[in-house]
Amino acid sequence: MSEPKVILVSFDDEKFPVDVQVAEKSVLIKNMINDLNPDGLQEDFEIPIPMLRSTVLAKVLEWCEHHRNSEFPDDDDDDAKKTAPIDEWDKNFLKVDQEMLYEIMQAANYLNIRQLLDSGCKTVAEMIKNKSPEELRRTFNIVNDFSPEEEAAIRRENEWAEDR
Amino acid sequence: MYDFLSALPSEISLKILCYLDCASLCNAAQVSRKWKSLADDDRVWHHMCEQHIDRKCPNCGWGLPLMHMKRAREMNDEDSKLSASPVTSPTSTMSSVGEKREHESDEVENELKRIKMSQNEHARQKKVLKKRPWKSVYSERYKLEKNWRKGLCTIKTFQGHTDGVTCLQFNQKYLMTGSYDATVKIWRVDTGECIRTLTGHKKGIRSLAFDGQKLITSGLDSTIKVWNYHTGNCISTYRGHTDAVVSVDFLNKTIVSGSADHTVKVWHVDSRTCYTLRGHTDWVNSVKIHALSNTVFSASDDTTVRMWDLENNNCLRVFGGVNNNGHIGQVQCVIPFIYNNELVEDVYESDTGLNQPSRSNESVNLSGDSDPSEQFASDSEINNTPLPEKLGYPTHLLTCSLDNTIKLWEVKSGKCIRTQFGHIDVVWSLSADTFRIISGAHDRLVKVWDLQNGRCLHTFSNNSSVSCVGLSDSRFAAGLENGTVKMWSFD
Repeated sequence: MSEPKVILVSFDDEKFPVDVQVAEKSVLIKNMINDLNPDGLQEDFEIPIPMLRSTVLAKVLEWCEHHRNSEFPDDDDDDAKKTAPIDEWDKNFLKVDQEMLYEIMQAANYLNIRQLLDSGCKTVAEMIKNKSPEELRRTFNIVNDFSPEEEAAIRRENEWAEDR
Repeated sequence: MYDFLSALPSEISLKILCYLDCASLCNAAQVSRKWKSLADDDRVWHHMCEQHIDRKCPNCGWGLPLMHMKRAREMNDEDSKLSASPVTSPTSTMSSVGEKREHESDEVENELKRIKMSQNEHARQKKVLKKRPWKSVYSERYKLEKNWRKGLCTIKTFQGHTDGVTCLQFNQKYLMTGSYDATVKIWRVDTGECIRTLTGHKKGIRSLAFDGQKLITSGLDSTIKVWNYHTGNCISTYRGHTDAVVSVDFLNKTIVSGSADHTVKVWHVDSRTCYTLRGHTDWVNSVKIHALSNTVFSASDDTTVRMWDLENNNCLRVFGGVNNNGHIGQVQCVIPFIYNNELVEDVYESDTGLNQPSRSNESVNLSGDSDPSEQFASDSEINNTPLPEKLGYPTHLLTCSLDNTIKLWEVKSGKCIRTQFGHIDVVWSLSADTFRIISGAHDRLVKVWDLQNGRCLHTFSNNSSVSCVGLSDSRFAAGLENGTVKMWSFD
């Protein structure tokens, strides 16, 4: 008999059967499995994830599947985390529209998949980097709610970082 | 289009911002009110400070100075009329934070701990740190570092000595200089005025060291003198060396001196005992106590540097010799320090034990008739002995020499791992901190080097040979052979 599977059910009732190892990339799911099956999984185990649409859940599980054997730098070593450039595969994986990226990050946060959330944060950081305030407003569709006087004052306040 | 920062939970938005550089953060703060509140958040800038202050950030290559001297001064402003009042009770905490020389790595580490763990700290210091937003802590240091990088500075000149300046040290308030004119002068750093001239040595001064309370000098008259520089009185004179005392250092109640009589002496002031450390075969030009490991380093005209254990006066290491890629000229200055990250090392084409056979031939010729090969053989024995179990040894040394080079050494192996070329004459003096090396040489140049990668960042020329240099977070100073002292300020 094959190994029992974890079956994740999306908001729109789509079922995703995956290996335990893949599902356990999510700390939330891992804890759920362990709490409810203290002796290990004997049979398929269904977990509803009503927070996620099927397209997003499929995407998240694609990431978990790819990284099923990945070793990540020490969680506690902030320096290693910060120094590591974004994983090349993750970079391409996250080349999606902004809404999908947003939902993947929300999902990674909810499911507690730290490395996926990190990659999402790095992706957004790359979108912010080296842009002027005006370019940032255009990129993220933001209205400038400063008065002209405020804007001038804040520009002066931040001048020190220019031209390095 | 998605406004990620506003839409995501704020802890994720802050996480995103922590991946940015400071210029991008400052741009983000100008986008909208919401973005400003996130991009100016104290947690983000605390993280930025952790990444950059007193260390080179592995991401961007920038590191920012601690500026602990400055903070110490601000905390101590109420008793700043030191020079005017004849009797001042010096505060001991101050001298340990602010007024001691910059390169005491244990102090630097203490300071680093304070920056990094602001929660369990001394109440007074905590107050000072807590009041200020981390962004302003960061920007103040950033502006200073930018000036260092661009070489933007003002230059002050101190005129008064009537013969060559041989040694100097300064803190935020005072610059002290010693000269062949047999005097020590104490200058106010801010105004440049000479506020005291100490006389008493019968011949030229060769070395000095001071803290918040006392000044110790040594000279060609073979003596060491301890001064209360607030009053100008000489407190005591130490005699014992049989020739000029050309280097001196101290820690608490221990004085260490190096002499033209080839010895290093360790003077324990309280017990009135003196030990003589023998091993060098020529003048001892520089001595430095490494407080954390309780060791002394001595640099000599015999082309080597020795490391001594102050607990038992044993010689623990000899840095020199062809096999270790050592200096081929007299060593003028040594600086021990702890560096926990990676330093760029020289790469040799062959990685066998005998790197560069041509070099060994060359130096056999150069070492000439005083060939100390026997001595080096016994030295390698010393170097193969592991250091006694003790924490806090310096990881590296910097040295400079009459062979025109600056060398970086690994203490554990006793080998030179990097040689910095650039000066075209004798390098007389070195000073260094977490980021920079300052060197002064007979070619009349002062050079600023990047400690981590060994590159020369700036060169400043003078009208006379440079015999001594000093460095702080925001300044460096040089004493010249023609009696002039100059200070370059980057703040």
